[in-house]
Amino acid sequence: MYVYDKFDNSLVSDRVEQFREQVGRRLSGELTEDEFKPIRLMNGLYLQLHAYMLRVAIPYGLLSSPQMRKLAEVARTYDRGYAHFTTRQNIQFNWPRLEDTPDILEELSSVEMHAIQTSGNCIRNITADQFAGVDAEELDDSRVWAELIRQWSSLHPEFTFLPRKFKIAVTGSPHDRTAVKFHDIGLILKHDEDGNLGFEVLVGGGLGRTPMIGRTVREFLPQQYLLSYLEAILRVYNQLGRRDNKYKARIKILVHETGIDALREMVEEEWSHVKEEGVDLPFAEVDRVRSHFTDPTYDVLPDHDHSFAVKQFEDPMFGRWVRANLAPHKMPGYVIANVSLKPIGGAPGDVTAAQMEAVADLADKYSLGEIRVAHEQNLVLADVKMSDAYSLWKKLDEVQLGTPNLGLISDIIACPGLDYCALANARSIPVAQRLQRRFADFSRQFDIGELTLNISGCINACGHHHAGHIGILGVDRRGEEYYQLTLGGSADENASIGKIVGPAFSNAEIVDAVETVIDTYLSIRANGEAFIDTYRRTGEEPFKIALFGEKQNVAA
Amino acid sequence: MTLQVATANRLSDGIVVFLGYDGEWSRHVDDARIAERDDDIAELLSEAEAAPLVVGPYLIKVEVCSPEGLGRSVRPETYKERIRAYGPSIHPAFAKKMVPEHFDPSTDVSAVFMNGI
Repeated sequence: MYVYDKFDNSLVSDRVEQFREQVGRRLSGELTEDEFKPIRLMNGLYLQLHAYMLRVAIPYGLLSSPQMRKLAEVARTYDRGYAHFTTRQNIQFNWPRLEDTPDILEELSSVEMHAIQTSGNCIRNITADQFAGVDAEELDDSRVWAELIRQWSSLHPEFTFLPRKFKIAVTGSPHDRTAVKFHDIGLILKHDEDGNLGFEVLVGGGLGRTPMIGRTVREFLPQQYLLSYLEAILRVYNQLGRRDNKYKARIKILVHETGIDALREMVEEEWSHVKEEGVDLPFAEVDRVRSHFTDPTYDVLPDHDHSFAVKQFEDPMFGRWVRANLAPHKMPGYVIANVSLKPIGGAPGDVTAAQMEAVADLADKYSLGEIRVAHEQNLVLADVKMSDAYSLWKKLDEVQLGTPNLGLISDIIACPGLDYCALANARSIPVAQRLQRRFADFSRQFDIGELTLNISGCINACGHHHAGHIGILGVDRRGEEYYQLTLGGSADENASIGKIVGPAFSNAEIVDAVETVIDTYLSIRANGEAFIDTYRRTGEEPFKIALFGEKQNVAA
Repeated sequence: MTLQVATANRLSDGIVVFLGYDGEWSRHVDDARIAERDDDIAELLSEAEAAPLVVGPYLIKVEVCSPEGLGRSVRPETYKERIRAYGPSIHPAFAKKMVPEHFDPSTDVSAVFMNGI
């Protein structure tokens, strides 16, 4: 894991002191809200519906156990005993007091954490693969590159006031877990024909009110040019991105309006200059950063563990957890354990302070003291011995973190929605809870199989609804909560944008509508066919007929 | 006839507050000063905007329930403002203490405590 050097440390602690003074001036009335708002946003402090909200960066989703304990301490001391993992691998506190915020940030700085660039029109937290470093299929460790981009983009003076926020993802695996094609810039690690490492560079992906899949701006960028090429893209965007209209200011609109070929030409032209400016790092610096992400010393273990197999047979819930939540590890005898933050009837992504502490302790005991955060709002313990898996699951289950539902219908991505968010049009979490209860039966969930169900409370799409196999978008219709259904979205390497099916459903109807979609799928799927494959085979028609045929009958 | 009250978030902690008859800000919408005539509404807003310890004051439309009853109950017109006044709907422990019956957080959902707390 990356460790701060003296520059990182002083940068973060100086910022805390600066903000402490600014908060003091706001509380004394010396600063107006108009003056203070951009300052607090630069420090991750939003004002939401019921209270302030502090968004803390978790660079590429990687946490040490002391950091997790500190987050728990902050939740307990300064908040209401819980926190919320976001859809961008960050964490949010929902109830901090303004006057406590400098103290919270000081606490966080003691474990090398901060809230810088978690808001505002700048380069946000870099997304990386939550299985980085332990996935047998990966070409290279995406954390190394995400860390280099983090350092380059932190307080980058030229890119602090972009036309709009800017999100970058890096994936090193052929199976994308980062939603790389839905980022402003997506970086896919690959080899060229001669075996040299580099990136396919995508640009202009995004969700929000205009969902777009990223386009390839460069088929292969040699690794040593990463920063200069990023700088070239950002420069072109900084000059040409629309500042006149907030809704057209993201780079995806520039790509759409300019065309990818014209944009590529501009980027390449800019790059020919930037490349000469010495932005790129010497290999020695890349190696220094890489040295923070080297493999731990793994035990030499057999491929199989007898007790692991026996326990799955003896304890069916554990068997289910193994099937849904464990993923193969690159080392024999180890597994990757996904910790679901989606208990049936819970708020997706929410964890209590006690749960955070439990995860920190379990990470120390079973997974080399590290925790990863996935953008699906779950946690990952990446280095678990097969022989420890049962003990780990038992202890997770004691704190309601053992739900065997990863990648199943109850593993719902949901934004905070109107229960917290000032932008939302409708609530997300109660809909997620009702859906989880409707599909609570695990036999049924496993029968339905692999499925992503994503809910956003407004068109800004923090709940990634367009990228869900089933998506739900909350809308306000004449002062009532309504929910628009989308089908066929996907966030992986075969990214697709969900299509709206028919008119929106009322709050009372939406759960039944999802069940109708599921029942339709179950009745028409081919043997072993996942929901998304059935949808791609049949299109929306059978689902539409089931949904709106029924509705017409009801109306009649 | 439109009844309006002034609301904002408290500067120190962001909590939702309503401007009362006594010029103080209250956490409870039932305490809110109701303006009906245009000039009263304008005066309410300018008073709210001049207040130093709140953020983003604005007016919302309300109805008054059971005016003949024992206590006055003020109901924001939109569900968004009702969630703001009484919510969040998913954490009863953190919702306002005096949630009136007319706030039905769930056409909806029996509100639950998350993750066992």
